[in-house]
Amino acid sequence: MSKLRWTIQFIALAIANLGLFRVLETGIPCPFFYCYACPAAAFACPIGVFQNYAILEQVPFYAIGVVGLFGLALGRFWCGWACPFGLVQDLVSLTRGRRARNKIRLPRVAWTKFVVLLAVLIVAWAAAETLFCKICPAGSLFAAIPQRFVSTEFHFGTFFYVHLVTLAIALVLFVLVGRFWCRFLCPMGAVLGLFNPVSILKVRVDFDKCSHCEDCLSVCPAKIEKLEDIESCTDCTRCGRCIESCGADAIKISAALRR
Amino acid sequence: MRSLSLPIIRLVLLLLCIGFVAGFAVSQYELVRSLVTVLCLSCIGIG
Repeated sequence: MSKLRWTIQFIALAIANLGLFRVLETGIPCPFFYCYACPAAAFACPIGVFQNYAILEQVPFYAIGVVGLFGLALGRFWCGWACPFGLVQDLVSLTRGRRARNKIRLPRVAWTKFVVLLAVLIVAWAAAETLFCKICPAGSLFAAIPQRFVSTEFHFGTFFYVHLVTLAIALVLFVLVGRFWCRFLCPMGAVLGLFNPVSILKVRVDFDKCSHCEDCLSVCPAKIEKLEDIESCTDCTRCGRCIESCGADAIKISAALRR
Repeated sequence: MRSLSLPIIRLVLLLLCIGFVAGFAVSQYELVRSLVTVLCLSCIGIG
């Protein structure tokens, strides 16, 4: 399953960059975290869209509808299987070796990303400025640095260097704690996480088969602490590591309309 | 009763989301697209 996940993550990265040479620049909000200021961006970052609408003091019905449809279908599956910034975190995690644990062990804290989401929107509205975009580490990696090579005629000001600093801090955190951004800070993860309890695709635990060894919880990058939380909590990215680790074959990822 | 509530919630959310897209895509799509096509120079610190 992990090979399939890596493959889909790279395919998603390629699809996110279909706007290369202005081939396919759409106004469709993407279901993951990716900067639309990237020279190759094909989709709009929903968090950027939400901020712009907060500045305009309008409701982004269209973007909410698109993101809602993505969330309703797959929940945070997008985070685990498609998000380019999630891919970056997984690649950084490889530096710790395949089986290596996090350098720093942090407990699951579900609410921080919701605070970030709320703060991002309030600050954008109050300052009439997309301030989060100016420090966003995904924007640093996918937009600011590529633009440095593509847009040679531009002058690079203060916020370019601010971006470099935030990216450097983020990368250090990713080395220390796997999927740090997804677990604690991602506002897009917060939005999609709201759909986890109702999404059609879910990770389901068969408690008749489960031996309660909790091997699944020990490998969980989201640090979910209870078996009962796997199906519906806002943190599960449906990455499938629990499925791989389950010796009793009690965990499955499946789509079902009725439960 | 509980087994019915989830499909009903999903159906309501589905209809709401489809309604949002169908009702507002025409008026809001171009603004969202402009965010992709017009580079936000100040956001990434270039000018």
